[in-house]
Amino acid sequence: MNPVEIHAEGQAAIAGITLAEFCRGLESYFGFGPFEIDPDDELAADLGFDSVMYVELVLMLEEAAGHTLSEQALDSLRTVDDVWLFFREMLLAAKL
Amino acid sequence: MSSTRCISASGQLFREVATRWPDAIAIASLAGDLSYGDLLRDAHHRAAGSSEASDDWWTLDQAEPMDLAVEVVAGWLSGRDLLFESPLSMSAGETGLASLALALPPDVSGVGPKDRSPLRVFYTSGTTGTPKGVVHTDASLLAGLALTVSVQAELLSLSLEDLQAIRSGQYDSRTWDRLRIGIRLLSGMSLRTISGYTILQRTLLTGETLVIVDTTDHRSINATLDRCHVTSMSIPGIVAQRMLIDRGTGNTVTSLMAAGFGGGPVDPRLAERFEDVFGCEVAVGYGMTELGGPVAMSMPGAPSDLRWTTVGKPLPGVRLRLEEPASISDEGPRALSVSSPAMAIGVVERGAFRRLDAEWFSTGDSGLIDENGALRLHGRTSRVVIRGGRCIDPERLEAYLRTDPAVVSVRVDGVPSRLQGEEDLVAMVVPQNPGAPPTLRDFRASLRNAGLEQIHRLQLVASLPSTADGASSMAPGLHAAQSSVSRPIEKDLGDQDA
Repeated sequence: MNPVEIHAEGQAAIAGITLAEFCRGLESYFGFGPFEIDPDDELAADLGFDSVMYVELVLMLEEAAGHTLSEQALDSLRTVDDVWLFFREMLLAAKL
Repeated sequence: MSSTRCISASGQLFREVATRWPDAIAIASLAGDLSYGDLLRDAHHRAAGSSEASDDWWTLDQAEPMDLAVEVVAGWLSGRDLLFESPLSMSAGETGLASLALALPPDVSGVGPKDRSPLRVFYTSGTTGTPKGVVHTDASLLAGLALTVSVQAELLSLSLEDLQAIRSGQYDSRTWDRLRIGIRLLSGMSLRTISGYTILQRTLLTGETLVIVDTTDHRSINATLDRCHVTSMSIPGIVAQRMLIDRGTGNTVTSLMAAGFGGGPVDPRLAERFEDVFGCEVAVGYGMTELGGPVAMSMPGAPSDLRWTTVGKPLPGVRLRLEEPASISDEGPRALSVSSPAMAIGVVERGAFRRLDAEWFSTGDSGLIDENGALRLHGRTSRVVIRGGRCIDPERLEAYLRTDPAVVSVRVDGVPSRLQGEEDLVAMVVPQNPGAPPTLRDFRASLRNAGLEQIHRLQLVASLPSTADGASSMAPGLHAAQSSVSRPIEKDLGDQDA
């Protein structure tokens, strides 16, 4: 499977990494309307993430980061804000 | 009403296996192993403890897989009818033996000394999306064991007579020795499902090792593969996807020889990547709870394009029937019916028992038989959507969303997801107030509170497109719009019970 092929639009969606842009990217990627996602939203409780959506999120982040993620690292991420912080740190670590 | 109970055929077989190989490992897990001798002792203990129960039924409600496996064996030894309790049985509102017993006619539920085979009831989301209890007998499920074993008939040097003996629960020590080849089979499906039960039978009635896991924890499954030296396993495709992500490029599991994917359509590219990373052969099969487990399976060693894009040939004793085409020039997929020796006797749905045809079962799937005699599935003849290994009835979601005051009319359909082999649920909604329409977030919160499945996309429309007979249909542009951001879904996919 080639994640680039699946998730090219996801990479574009989260290329900007301000929190607001990250929220807009998630909205676009997961089919929400504009400004429907807030940073405090919990993925499962507020946004209704199911097992398929979690896999999509991991593959999207992997594609944007350019390397494989340990899914275990995502276990503690409950909110959109958590995911964004994790994503930023991941990109910063990749640049060092 | 209580009655004199005799040990079931499965109980007799298990007792003979455990007596023959008491020190062999019956059940392995990360928490520890249980030998056949210990399992027989523990199961006897539980069966004895239940013998004073006032009815013939035993509800299997243990949460831990190890406890549940012991309880199944205890149920075999007790001779009682078994109800596999699950979230589906509870959501059906039919949990409780009293309501189940009321639904079953006397000739099925029976009272008094038993000359019938004990019942086993599994709950499933089934082909309609509405939870239902599928009523099997111990005998029908032993016939299912024969079908499972027949996949390896050549490897095991089994004759047709041997398979018939297994089907009737009468196989002898010579057959037993050949059935026991040292496999350690991991069930990635709950033991409450027909898939998990099939694996439990295949191992514990032939002296092999059943490897149990928390089926919701893919990381635990990955760890179990290595530590319990698993040789083969059966898992839903979505779990395989998550195991791949968790393992990364990982290292090959040296003991693992075969993996069967079930619980929904299989992406051939997922199968290929899984084979690369895990160093095993991926097989795809086809079965349903009503059919007592698998009825078709790709054969070990078959070319990969056949193993991944078909569900193999029907197993010995299984017959397939494709509906006649509407015209002689119509060469498209046709509705599939199956006849199997392992078929259930009926289903309990919405509190009523419905007896199934004893010979043919209409699957709700469509397919074709290719030039090699293998079954190629093309989809479903109904609107049911398959996501994450579950069948979802869009009409149930439509009925709920129509009660929303912000909605004039609605239609829900499945469209290909980004993850190949999965489907997203898209709701086309005519809003009451186009100036302030409902949002996807609103619907999700509402559906979650109602305990229903989620929709994944929302499309606001001025009116629902209609067919010639006036019924609403999917918007013509919806598939095209979705596929512009998705890879095309494969046409030839396997489908297994959820």
